[in-house]
Amino acid sequence: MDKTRKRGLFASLAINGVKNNSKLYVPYMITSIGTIAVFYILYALMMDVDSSSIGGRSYLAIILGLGTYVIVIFGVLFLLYTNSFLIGARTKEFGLYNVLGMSKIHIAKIVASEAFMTGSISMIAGLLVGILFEKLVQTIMYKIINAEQDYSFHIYWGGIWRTLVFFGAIFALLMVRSVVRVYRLNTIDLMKNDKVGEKPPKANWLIALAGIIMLAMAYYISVTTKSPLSALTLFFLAVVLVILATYLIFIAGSVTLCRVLQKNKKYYYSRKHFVSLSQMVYRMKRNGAGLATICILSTMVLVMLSSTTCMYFGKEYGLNTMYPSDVMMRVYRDLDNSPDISAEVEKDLDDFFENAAKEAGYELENKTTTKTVDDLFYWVDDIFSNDRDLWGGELNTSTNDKLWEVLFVPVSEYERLSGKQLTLKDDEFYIAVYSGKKKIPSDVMLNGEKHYKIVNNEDPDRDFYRYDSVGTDLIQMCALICNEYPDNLGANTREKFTYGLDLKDATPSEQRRFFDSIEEDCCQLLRDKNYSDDYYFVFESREENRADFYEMYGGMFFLGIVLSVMFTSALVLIIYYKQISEGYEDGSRYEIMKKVGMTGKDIRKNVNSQMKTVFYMPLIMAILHLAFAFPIIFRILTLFGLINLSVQITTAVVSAVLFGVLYTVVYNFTSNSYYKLVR
Amino acid sequence: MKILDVNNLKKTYTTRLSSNKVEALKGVTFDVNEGEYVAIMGESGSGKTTLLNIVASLDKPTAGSVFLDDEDITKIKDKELAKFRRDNLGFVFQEFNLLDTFTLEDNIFLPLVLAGESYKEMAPKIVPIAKRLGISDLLKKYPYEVSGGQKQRAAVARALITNPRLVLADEPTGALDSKSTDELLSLFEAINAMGQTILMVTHSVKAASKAKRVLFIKDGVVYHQLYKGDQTDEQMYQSISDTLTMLQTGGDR
Repeated sequence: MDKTRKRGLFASLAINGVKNNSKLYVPYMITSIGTIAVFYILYALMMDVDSSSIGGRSYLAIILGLGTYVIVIFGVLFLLYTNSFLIGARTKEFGLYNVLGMSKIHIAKIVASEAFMTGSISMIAGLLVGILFEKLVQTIMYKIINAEQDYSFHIYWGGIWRTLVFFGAIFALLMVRSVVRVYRLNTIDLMKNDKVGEKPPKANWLIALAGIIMLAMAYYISVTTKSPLSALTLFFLAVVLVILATYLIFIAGSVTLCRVLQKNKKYYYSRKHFVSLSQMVYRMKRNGAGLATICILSTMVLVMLSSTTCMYFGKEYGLNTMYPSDVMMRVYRDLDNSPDISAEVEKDLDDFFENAAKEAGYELENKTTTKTVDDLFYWVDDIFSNDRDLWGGELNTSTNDKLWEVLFVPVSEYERLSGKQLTLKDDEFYIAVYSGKKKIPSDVMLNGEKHYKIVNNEDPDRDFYRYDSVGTDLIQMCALICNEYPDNLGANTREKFTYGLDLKDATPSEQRRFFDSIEEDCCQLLRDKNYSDDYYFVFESREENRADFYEMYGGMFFLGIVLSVMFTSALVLIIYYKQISEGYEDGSRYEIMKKVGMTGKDIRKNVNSQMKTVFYMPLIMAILHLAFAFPIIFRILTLFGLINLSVQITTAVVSAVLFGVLYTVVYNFTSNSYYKLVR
Repeated sequence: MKILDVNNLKKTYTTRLSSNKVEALKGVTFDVNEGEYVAIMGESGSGKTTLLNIVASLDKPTAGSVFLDDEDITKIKDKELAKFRRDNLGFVFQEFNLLDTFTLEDNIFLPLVLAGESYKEMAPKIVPIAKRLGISDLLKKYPYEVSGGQKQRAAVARALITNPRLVLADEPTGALDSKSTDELLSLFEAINAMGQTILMVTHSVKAASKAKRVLFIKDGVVYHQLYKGDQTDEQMYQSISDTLTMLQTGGDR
């Protein structure tokens, strides 16, 4: 009987502990409930996408699956942080229990039952919220990826037990950690905790300088990296540098700056700066890491939001670059062994599309054809070769500024496409540069055998026909116009013939339906012609690929939004906790200052300026990070074929402004709870 | 010459939860002359801290007036109060109330900085005061690095640096060991000897025995007062003890 009563006591102490600290626990629980709900929702969406029969939405499932992992990792880090804050805030209470004669085992039991309670409530509530809102979130997601939604309601048991396993493990970990912390408590230290003076933080030039140098390096990488491929690899280096630099600067740099300012007597001993500067030193020392975390989280949100939005809104651009015509037929032939059949194929396709369109009641327009040989070339000075042994046959950061994608275009094609006249000798190239900043030599040695003169090397043509490739953004690219294709391009050189058409006044869904219906017939037609196996035919319509684009970039956009919301709420909670803990500490200080003759207005002004500096510094730094990340993100997005500077600038600015507004709202809201504590 | 004139001061507290009214001061009247050193004694709850807070303009009375020189401080507008405190009053507290984020030097400068003085003006002022208080070598140290006695001396320096009309001390020896207490009390005597007016609230008979006059407060009124006159510290100590005994045993005046 005694035992049950005791157990009841622990439970009620635990309940009271949570209740009395509701200011701390309520936001914590809301966030953990939110995290769990999002985890369940993402998992359910992934299952839903997997099981749906509409198209192969594997991209989306992968993206969502990735999202669930991010949420779990985020959950671990974030719950560890908030939990340690909660326990930290309550050590005094535990110390008191200890002094009053409660043994550590008993305190540990209270802490454990608290953790158990908050954990189970969070999981149950999180799952309920998740199940309830899954359909709503699904609707939003399908709107974004522009696909048909299945409205039937499901509960995904897999999602439920995964939630229970993952988050159960996290909460168990938190429970163990809290208990360990209780065992480590030293009651005597606890009781005099408040009175122990804190050592004044010292300026650390070395660390501050290291932070600034690292940041400069990261910014330098971002600004100077020109090639998208190196951008992708260097991006991660830059991210690591920025994270480290942010921590160093916030922890050491800020203290050093305050110390330098304090050395300036005239600046320091003034009403405006005296109190705030001296407090700021301590504040920065204690909060440097927290503020750096806020800064990094903000940067993550900004970068993620702006780049996924940019991808999403840039997808049309990418789509149009890759598929300049509504429908495209590509025919590849072996240059040496198979005769040119483009004329016949063109005629076949003309007839075929004519009939098919007439039957379906559509009109055709904007027919285009191109014929080129293209390959990757290694090009240094006049060494010009597509022999892959020379450069290892790979695109990587060390070779890619020497690599060019080169299109060989017969003069007849050039004249037809550009409308200009051109007369060349057999050993001459006329060059058109799409991208790349090389100084063009006056002659090249093709594969070590054949000399060619580049006739317009001083003034390359730049607005030759737009080639249907995103390659221009990725790699240096040029067209060489020649009388005949060179005969030493190596075996297996293939010529590509592209036939493109637009469907007049057809909506995307009409296009999709029409092209889907004729794709098989079209391929069959060409196969029936008995062209030898050396020809490859590829049929592509833009609308068919649009669905993929929507799914991929829409999925990323969706995940970007979800994760941004998660990270932002984490941010809100961290800021809130910071404000509260600051308030507790500052309250007594301002009491003294009031007695010494500081007016209420002075205090308010002082608090305001300090708090603003402290909380807006991470935001400003984050926006600076975003600004400097901009160039490298731009390069990386070109990899996806999604470059459109104006879209990227708009999305970056809009994300920054939106985030700034949200941040300000959060700041104002949380600073009220701070003032209440200071007054 | 009268420097402080406290007239029929009343203070009634209404507790928040019940309608019970607590009369902390029921009509306190006394005055302090320039250059005097007055101690106020009384048990916990006698109203002496309330009195000090009102004189310090930290609290408003329910009725009555407090004149410092010719100004009724109970009538000063809230906006001007901080400036008034800064210019006219110096404070010494039981818990020192030094800011842990400042060095001792900066703590002493605080009232001057708040008053808007430039560093050039204030820098010379600290030298003689620090020397007199024996903390010249400690100025660059932080409160946590020095002893309680040293902290309290820094607090005294902070109170004196503005040349206040009146120094208010609230249990200044309450947190000090006996050696530091002795040092502080002789310091008070010394600064009083130089003409500084001091009003001190204390529990300590020893501290009170150094004052020139001791006021006893009981149940919200000035119950009795003792002048030191020519008495030695020991004689004064004895007189105070007797008075306290009388107060505690509830004897009439």
